[in-house]
Amino acid sequence: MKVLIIDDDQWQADLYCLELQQNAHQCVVANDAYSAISLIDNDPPDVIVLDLLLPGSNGIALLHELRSYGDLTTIPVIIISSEAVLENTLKGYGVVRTLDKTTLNQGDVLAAVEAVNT
Amino acid sequence: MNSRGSKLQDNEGDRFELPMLFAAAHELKSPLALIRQMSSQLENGDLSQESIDTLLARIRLTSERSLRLVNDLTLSKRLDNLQLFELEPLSPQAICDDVAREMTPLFTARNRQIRVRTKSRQALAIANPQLLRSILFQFSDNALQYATVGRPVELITRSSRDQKRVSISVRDYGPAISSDIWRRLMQTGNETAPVARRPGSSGLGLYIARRFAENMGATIGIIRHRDGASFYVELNASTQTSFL
Repeated sequence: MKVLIIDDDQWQADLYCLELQQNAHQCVVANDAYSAISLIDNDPPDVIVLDLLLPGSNGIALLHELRSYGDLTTIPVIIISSEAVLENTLKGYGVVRTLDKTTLNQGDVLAAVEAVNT
Repeated sequence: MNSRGSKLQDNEGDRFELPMLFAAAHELKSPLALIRQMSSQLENGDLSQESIDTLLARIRLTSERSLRLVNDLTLSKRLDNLQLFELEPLSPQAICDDVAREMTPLFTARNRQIRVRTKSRQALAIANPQLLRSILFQFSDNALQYATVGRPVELITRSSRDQKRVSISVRDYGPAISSDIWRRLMQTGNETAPVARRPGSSGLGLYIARRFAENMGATIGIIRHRDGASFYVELNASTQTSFL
């Protein structure tokens, strides 16, 4: 699967990518909302893994923006956050799973991505 | 109401410290989570020696960055206790060189650069070295988040024409600050900004920098550029023109 990681911290994104690439998934990283939108527009991924706190914008605003592009609303989104997340609010934005960054274990992101297809 | 309950309500210090505590917890959560995940990767992963070295370096740099924040919070607490920090004539250039040298490993590991630029003949600044260094570390750390590859973050020192004020700014060449965030930054007064309102930041760094600056009779400010931002501290200049 082609996975877009949206995280302002490149080192954090590297960890997710390493895990996904070791399991034959393709990984692309965007460090801010603007480059994420451009990447999604040019080459839509199969899954988006999104950190809710981004510089210059925030994850919710990005989800809102994506929802305005009709053909992109079907891309499943996995949220990773260190803050409390209102899951019910996010469901309307195509969010299929939320993960807590502070308790994340190795394999959790991979499992969440692979669960999208099942 | 029992006496314990009323005592808690009457404690002004508790009311003041709670937003700080919350903001500090927020700022430390992400780096601690990252350190935990990188350590876990080291324990469980089948990694090359190069990957192991990279992860170890990142763990060290992330820890150092978090420790700087913890040290600043401790310093801030000493200000609450009205501890005085002695002021002395300092070379702004020397302080900037020092900060840039210490931040270079973190910048390099994140594929960014930091350098010092002097804009005019230097007056000495009246400051406390520990507080001034902390302010510049806060500004540089913030700039690192927004810096772009190939455009170094600059520590720029200037003296006013009348040589009465010295300013040190940290300039990043990243995306412009949006009007929305700009308004919120301008509103960040004596309290930390509510966490959820400023993406990626609690405003704690700016709050700490402002407190440290005020303790030295200095001011801090922000200049919004089309291609980034400058965070600056403006200090009184010493009448002494150079070190003897």
